[in-house]
Amino acid sequence: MKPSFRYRVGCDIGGTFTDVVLFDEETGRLSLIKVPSTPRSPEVGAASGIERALETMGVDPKFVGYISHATTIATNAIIGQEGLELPKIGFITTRGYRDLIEIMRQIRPNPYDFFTDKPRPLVPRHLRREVTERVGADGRVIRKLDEDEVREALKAFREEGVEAVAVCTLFSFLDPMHEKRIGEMIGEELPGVHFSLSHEVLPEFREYERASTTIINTLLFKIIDGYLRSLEDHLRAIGLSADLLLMQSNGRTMSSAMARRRPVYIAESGPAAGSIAAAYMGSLAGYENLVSFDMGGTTTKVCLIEKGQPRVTTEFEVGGTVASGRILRGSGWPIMVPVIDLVEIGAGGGSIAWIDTGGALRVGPMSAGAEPGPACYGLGGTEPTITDAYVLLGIINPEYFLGGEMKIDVELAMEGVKERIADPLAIDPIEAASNIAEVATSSIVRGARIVTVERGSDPREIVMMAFGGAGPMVASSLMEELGFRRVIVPEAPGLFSAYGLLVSNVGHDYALAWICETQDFDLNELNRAFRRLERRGLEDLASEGFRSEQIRVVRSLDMRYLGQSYELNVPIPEEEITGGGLSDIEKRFHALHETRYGYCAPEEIIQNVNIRVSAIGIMPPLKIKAEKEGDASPEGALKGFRDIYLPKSGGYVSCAIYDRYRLKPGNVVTGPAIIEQIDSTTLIQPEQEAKIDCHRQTVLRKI
Amino acid sequence: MKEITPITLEVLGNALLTVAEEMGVGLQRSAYSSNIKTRLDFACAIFDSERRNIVQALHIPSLLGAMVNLVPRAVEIFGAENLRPGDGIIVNNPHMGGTHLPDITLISPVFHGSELFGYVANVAHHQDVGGMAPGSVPGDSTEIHQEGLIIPPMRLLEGGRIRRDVLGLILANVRSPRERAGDYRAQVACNNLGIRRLGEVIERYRAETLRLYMEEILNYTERRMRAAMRAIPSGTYYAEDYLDSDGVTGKPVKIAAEVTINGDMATIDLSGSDAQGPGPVNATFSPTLSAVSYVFKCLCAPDIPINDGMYRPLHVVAPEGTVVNARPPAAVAGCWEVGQRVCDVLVKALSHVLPEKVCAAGKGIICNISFGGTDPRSGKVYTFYETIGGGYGARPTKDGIDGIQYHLTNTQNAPVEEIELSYPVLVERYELIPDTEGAGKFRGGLGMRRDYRFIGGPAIFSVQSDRAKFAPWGLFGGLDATPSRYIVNPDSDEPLELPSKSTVRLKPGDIVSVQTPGGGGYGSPLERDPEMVLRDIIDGKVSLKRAEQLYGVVVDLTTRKVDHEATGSLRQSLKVASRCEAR
Repeated sequence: MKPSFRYRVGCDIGGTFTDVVLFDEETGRLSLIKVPSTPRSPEVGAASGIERALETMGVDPKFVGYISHATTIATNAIIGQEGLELPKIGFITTRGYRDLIEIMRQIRPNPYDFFTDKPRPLVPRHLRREVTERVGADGRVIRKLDEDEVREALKAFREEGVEAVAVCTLFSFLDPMHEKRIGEMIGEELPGVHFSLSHEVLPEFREYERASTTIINTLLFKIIDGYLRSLEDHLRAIGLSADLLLMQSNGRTMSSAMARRRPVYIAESGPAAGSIAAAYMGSLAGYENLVSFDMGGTTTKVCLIEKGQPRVTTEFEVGGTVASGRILRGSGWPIMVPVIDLVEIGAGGGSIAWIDTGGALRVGPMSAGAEPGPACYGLGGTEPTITDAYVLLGIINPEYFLGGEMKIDVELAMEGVKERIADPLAIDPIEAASNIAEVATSSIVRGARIVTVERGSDPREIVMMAFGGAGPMVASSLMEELGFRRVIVPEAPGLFSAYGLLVSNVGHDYALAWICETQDFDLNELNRAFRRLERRGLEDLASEGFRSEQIRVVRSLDMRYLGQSYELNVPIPEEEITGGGLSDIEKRFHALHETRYGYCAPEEIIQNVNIRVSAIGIMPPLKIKAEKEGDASPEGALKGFRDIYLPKSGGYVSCAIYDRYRLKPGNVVTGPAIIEQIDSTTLIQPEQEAKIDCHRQTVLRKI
Repeated sequence: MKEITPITLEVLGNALLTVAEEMGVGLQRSAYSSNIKTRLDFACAIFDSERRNIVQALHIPSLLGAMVNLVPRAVEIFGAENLRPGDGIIVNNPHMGGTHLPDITLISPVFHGSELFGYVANVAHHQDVGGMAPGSVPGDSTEIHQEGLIIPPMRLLEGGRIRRDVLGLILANVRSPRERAGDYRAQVACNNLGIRRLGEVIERYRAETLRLYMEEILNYTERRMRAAMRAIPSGTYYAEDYLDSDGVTGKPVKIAAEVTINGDMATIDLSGSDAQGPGPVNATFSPTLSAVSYVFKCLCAPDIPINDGMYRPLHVVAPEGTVVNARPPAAVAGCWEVGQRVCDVLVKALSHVLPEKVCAAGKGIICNISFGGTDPRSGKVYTFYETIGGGYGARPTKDGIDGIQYHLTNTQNAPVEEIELSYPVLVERYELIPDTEGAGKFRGGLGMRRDYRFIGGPAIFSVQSDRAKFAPWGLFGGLDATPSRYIVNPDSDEPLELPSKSTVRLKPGDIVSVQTPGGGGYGSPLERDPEMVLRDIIDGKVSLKRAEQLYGVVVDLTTRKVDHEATGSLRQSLKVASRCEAR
């Protein structure tokens, strides 16, 4: 990190647009730019977007401190996007386990579909080799490694032209000797060939998940390295020598050098930034417990934020199919590294409304996408979508969609809703549009409830941060339905995710299997193990330029009642654990179990499974200026009035329309009202009011 | 009365489903049995005051028909008038509507004010419920009393609290009571969550409106089911198949189905099936209903909400005293093996009219593996239970899946490292078995092999499985797959081949090798794309010899290319040979 710098840049590559945000530390000014993405070589679009942002702001590249970047290239490569060819890799494992990664969990992603399939194995069977060796559950070697067999396997790999090798043997996290030896032999026999050893990538138990994580790490080396090299070349070409940081799946960033070493950690880089932005801006507004709600064109992503931290999970599957908000187990390739825990709902602005054979009105999961898009875009779409419904209800202003850059045809919206929904149900098209909006809301409610209830949180304690193009439009209905305390709409909802890149810290996660009942804990050994992991964290962050006073360390333990098969992650204090500290840790586990699952069993034995350390390099906070709140009257921003259809008010209601850009901190808008801006429309229902806060965020509450 | 609108229907349907789903999340997260937790062998449901199933969230197909049959009967036996707020009724008796003993159901009444509004219920497969064999799925039981503790409908919860006497009685009868107590607590927490959440929904939408719509939710599902049924050509279709044995005499057990589609409804007549047998290979009505409704749900409308309405167009004829509707005191540990075969038979019967929608027979077994003993490391009694996948049947457009669960079951494998950390066994192999597929234009999936070496003290090992004698069949010229095998000490001088339903005592050091069947093929193997055969050869899934003999494909392994000329003439001669044979 440059000791003194003036600008930070965030760059988020999406399917259609690449968003660039630039923040000036001196003036506190933020500028935002959207440029078309270049899917075949995303780094080209990224570099040109950054270049444009710098030009627009008149910024000398040498004053840019760092560029923080989110990319979906890893996921796209794994799911087999054209043009991103995966390298040919080999897999070495314990005798008897060649098919581990093909059997997977032996489950069908959809058990009610005779045509369902498991995902393809990431290494074909003929490149998976077994070697005689065995470590037992007590960590002792049962069978010695047969080095001749290893050599034979490596010879076969050489003949096949294998470019990298993944190694995962049973219980290697207890005794890594055999994996290490195999690694040495790869170095000898296949010099220059990259390899990943499972005990280094993920020293945790559960062999399939460990193997899968190791394989994905191995597959990504070449792709990530090539991508970063090309991106760095492009950035240098426009005079940027700033550090490049990559967003990880856990919502923290890492240097490009670290990303090259641990590529599996950036597999889910793309969607993480939005929830980081929500956590940051939520806490600026004084709220630590939030739901981030990101509704775009095809899907909605919801994430629970507790005490300012987005929830993370280690049960993620790359490329998995989502149903009812959750990844269908067994539909993707698991990576057991921390990933921000997002629930995804197949409802976005472009989701299509339809009537099924039982006569029920449904919305999604099919989407009209960006092309042809909703019927009202006039790009050939005929199916009615959520956007069409909101146009008919008068909530979206057809004259001011994307600030008037996009023409909206109300007639086409009407035609779609009438033909496909209203006529078959023999109702009025406006009523049909209102029904579409309500059904969409109910399916989002189901997803949002999963997020909160699954985690044992009470929605009434929670504030929702609504963003994405469509989020602010439906947020007020969700507030009513779910009973959220407040809804916050950020200043620029459409670019909010990219904003998260500017505020995230650098950080790395380290874990180690440590399977032991708490009653048998050797505290000295435990403290030593923690210190070992912490030392690695400090070293890695030091290599990225952090001084020790800029580093925070978070310790936790994965624990369960003896006999359970899943763990709870229990945060613990960063100090030497003593006898008293241990009983405090046990109490924390019981309490967490009670919160999550509704009961605890203090008389039961607790078993520890993993120890975890997160080492966080704190970035200088973004100095966002708080403005003084002024007059409550929003009169100065009033654009006029429009009739909108609100079923709860019994039909059409005359509704005040405000210009977002003319609203000032302190202004209070009373519902029913609409706030319009280029990238979004915020609806405020009757009996709600919205106040513009000192950070120019719109805060909705019930009156 | 208010008018019904499709919109409120969808909104309330979503709200009720959310309640059931949340119950499921709660149960899964807090349970102890890995069977519940990671293998999702459970279901959660809401019933109305007339004991009709309004919504069911489920993860495993086998429990599709379980609660719809059990809950009304259990409440009736207990007497709805005897229920108070805070009560929870526990039941597992297969002969009163249950499935097999390890599937334990908890039913809680939901009151709105002083009025009974309905019920929430969950069923979950416990790792053990006592009886003659650890894991409670013995391969050789002859009456239900040997299989574990039989629980008639009784109060586990009173005034919201667990009755210590009842739980104490149950735990005294099961192995590893500490872990099981955790499962019972999780089931209680699950229903409590359901009561609370259903209460919120009632509060929000008013009991009267909700009742009106619950009726309509049933009608909606029924309409969708009937609409899908009309797409099947009317007529009567027959198929039969066999289970290896009744588990005692070695005599095969016949399952026969005559399916009559008549407009928008179906009659599934299973009367041609054998009488109930002397061993554990029997099902009461619940597993049979699960099997029938699963097949029709898959073929008709995989996404319809599950409730009473789904069963209305299905008329199941299963005479009492047959293997598909056994009377007491029949042993029923193998009920899901019966259920799997009912699925196979129904799919086969309907393959005549829905060739593009069905699959060939897959592994056709649950393959219950259970073992237990005393762990020398801790001195404690342990029990282990899991089920093992096999090949999936080939489909009209693609191959069957290798090493996967099939039809009624979709339970996950236990991680080997978890098994070895917790139990005194060493899993020596866990792999696909080459050449076990049913050959075809599209081939069936490969079967799987799992070898357990018992490294602690002596152990009791049970297998409750099938398809060792009658292989999974192919369709439309596709060949049958390789049947299953269960072998003690396979690589020794004296390997012992076990029948598919067995309980054996093992000495330390013994290995049991479980080898599951592949799936049947679809279409003639001589029509298979030779490149796909080549792929299978390179992958070591199909041997060179088998490729030539069954698929008529000749490849050159050094160049990894198909020898098209040799393949053409070999296929020609194989076709001629098969025609001669047919004559």
